[in-house]
Amino acid sequence: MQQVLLFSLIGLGAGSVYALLALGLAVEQQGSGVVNFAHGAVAMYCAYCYSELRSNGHLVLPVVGIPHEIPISSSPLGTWPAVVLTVAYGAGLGALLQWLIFSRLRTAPTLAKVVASIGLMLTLQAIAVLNFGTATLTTPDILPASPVTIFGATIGQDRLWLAGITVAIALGIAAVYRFTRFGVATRAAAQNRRAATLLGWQPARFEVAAWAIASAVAALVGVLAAPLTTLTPSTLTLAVVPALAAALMARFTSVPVAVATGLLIGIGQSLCVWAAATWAWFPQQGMSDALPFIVIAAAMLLRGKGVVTRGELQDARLPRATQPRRPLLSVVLLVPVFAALLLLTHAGWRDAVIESLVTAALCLSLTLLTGFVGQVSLVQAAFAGVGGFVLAKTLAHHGLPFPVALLVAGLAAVPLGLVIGIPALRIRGINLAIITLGAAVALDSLFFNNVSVSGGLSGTSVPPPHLFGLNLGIQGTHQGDFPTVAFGFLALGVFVLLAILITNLRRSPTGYQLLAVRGNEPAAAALGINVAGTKLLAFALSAFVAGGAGGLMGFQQGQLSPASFTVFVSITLLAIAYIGGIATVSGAIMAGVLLAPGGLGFTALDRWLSLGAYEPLVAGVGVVVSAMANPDGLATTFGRLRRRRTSVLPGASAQVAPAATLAVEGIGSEPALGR
Amino acid sequence: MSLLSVADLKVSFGGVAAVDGVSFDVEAGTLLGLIGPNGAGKTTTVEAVTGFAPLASGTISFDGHAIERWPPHRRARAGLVRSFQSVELFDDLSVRENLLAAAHRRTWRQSLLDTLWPRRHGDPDSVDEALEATGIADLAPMSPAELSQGQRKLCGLARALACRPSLLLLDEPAAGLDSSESLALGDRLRAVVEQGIAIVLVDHDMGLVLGVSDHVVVLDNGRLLAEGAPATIRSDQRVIDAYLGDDALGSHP
Repeated sequence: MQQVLLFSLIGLGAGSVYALLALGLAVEQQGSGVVNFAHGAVAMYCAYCYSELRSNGHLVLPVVGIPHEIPISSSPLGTWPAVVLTVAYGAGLGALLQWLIFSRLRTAPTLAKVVASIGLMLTLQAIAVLNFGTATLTTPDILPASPVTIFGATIGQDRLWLAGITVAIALGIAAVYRFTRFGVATRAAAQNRRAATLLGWQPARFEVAAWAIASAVAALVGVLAAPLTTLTPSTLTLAVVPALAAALMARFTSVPVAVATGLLIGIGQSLCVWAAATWAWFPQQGMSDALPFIVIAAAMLLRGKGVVTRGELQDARLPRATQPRRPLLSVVLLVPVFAALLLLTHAGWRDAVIESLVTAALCLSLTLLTGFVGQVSLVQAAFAGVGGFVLAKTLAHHGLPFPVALLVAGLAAVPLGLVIGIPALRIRGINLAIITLGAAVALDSLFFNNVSVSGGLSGTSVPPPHLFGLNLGIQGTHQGDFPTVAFGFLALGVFVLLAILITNLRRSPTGYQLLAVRGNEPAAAALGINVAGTKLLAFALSAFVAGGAGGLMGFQQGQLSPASFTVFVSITLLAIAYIGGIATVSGAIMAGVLLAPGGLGFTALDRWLSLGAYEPLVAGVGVVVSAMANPDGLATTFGRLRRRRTSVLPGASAQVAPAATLAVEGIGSEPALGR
Repeated sequence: MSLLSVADLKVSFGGVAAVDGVSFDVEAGTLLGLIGPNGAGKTTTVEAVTGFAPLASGTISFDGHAIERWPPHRRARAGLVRSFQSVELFDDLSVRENLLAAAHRRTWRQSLLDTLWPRRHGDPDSVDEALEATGIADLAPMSPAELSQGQRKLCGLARALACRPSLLLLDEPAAGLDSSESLALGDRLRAVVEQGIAIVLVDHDMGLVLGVSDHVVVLDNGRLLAEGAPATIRSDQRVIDAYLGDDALGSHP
């Protein structure tokens, strides 16, 4: 019993972090309608800021290239000046981000906002890695840490202080929202922005203020929490997941529920550690990361719709999924181009071509799921991971020819796809993004970081693919023959095959029904379309495509490690697939070629501009900027530009213009009709 | 036996009874007009019959089946198809594709086959028949965004027809149409009924409803106020008091 109390009290530390981040998420969502996936990353960056101020008196800016450290003191700053400066820094950063990015996305599709905020998360993380490295940092204690004894349990009193501060801040925020004009106006604007404007308020200012407040609290989290654990670019960044769970339970409105849920998740995670040490049957790892997912799922069930969207938002808007007009022609044009690329390149460049193809294949799973059916998923890499590891296991025991092995990999991911699809029967949009993110984090630690499944850090080796006795492995017979042309063609073949499946689906009656469900669920049901069945079908097929692509990754890497399938891979995948053009096959190709980490675009960046180290940063910034500039995706924008150029009579050309552009290659990149 | 039999239908929202004990029958191949003032429960009745609003009590039998517990898509597959007041076209699909989405029935097996061989079946005949019946064949390649309100309404009707329904429930199909369009719509609805498809028509255009219906049901405050042939309803004092008013009678002789 004493142990239970001890672990509960220890859990207050992490619980306070989740509670405070949840409050910030709620303030931002209510204030501006954005669920900020980068909220943990803001706390993380502020923690680095504090750590630098305390160690050398330098203020670090969230920039790279130009000097990012401004010496504001020749000696390390004292505790209090550093805390005050960091909190002010956080407020400024939050205000800047809202003004620079999210104020411009006010009327953008929900998916564009999700993508912008995950792009911001990737950006801040990339900047932190570039400026501070990935080594763990310990920051000086700020709260008194001397031990105290409560009912026989002895713990550092810093956790109690942190919990106390959390409650005090929560009370402060609740008071501001209840009693001040700012609070009333923000609540009013959250209900109806236009009406609030008509009353003479300026919602834009309140939105900036909400972000400043939320980010100042996040900065305080960074200051107070970093000493409790250690500081790396990813720890606080991912604390956004349990914080989202708490905020969801509070429906982004109730301060007490957010704080209580946050604290309870922290306590629960701590108790999972205790349980694993006490009971042999309890899973030894992963349960504490599965807990937020369980809370998210419970919140969605208990609290109905999850994030209550603001009155004026159009939730369902997605980029146009255009009909592929000449699929055969596209294949005939595409295959020789990639074949030539594979034959004319070698070593690093050929590797980049292969990487582009593999990533494009993975993106196809999102084309189907998010593009055609509108289901936002941040768990695609987990589908790929299941495929990859199952491929490794079955190949090691049975010598299957590679097409059969890939089929097995794809099918192996289908059950997981169906399970993830179940919540999607009730929820959609941003809520689905949150629950799939929670699932991805849970799967990361339960499954992929489980040594018995994935082989741990060293990974699992994958035998090379073969067919009719031919070795098609990526490693040739001698050392220099890497990657082989044969494997390049294998990857091209698999990609083209998957692309044909997706294109066929779009052109078939099933495709019309997928788009019908995406467009209007009640209308689809009224016409006899089984909406639940259609969504599950999409999840199953998407998992199959991702699982097959994961199998391909297994062959490509030879040694499959869990790092290839982390939650950040899933996040990056959604971001680049969206930027490329989420609803078309050409968008997936665009994402693979231009945007894939390690793909052609970034290899060019590295070889020609020596910017290889900046790849994650360029990707993150690119995602944010693209989400702002082309809310409908690159492929759609290119198609539109081309259409504009070829149409003779703008306006009157609705029926003529598409006909004029139909002959242009590219699988389905044309907007079908005047848009 | 009637095609659709609604008995003692009750629907409440948060304790307020929107429909309170309504019963009516629809015979195959006839047109039933459902009228009443705003808030009478017309749309709620349509929603309850098609599975979009939960029943508090009552029974609905369609084609010999008790369908109260069926989900909406199952009712639609059985032939009970509705249209929406706000049309609700699929904006990502062309007009023709809107109809194709409605006309095809897909099992999982067929969907999987679709990934390998997407166009093994031609388009169902019901698509072209529905386009013809509503007179919008020339709009087939257009995007819903390019249509006028009247054209959108016709497209919604065509899409419902493409499902090959045995009973169509149309929620205010004439709202937003001018009087000549409304007259044309009446003719089209009669033509549909002549093919043997029953229609439940909810609309505020009294000229249209009383002109084309075989039978009229009048709701008021969630209850059945009157029912009968159009001529009877036209002269029913309760209906005149509650809804029609002298003016309405005068303008639609």
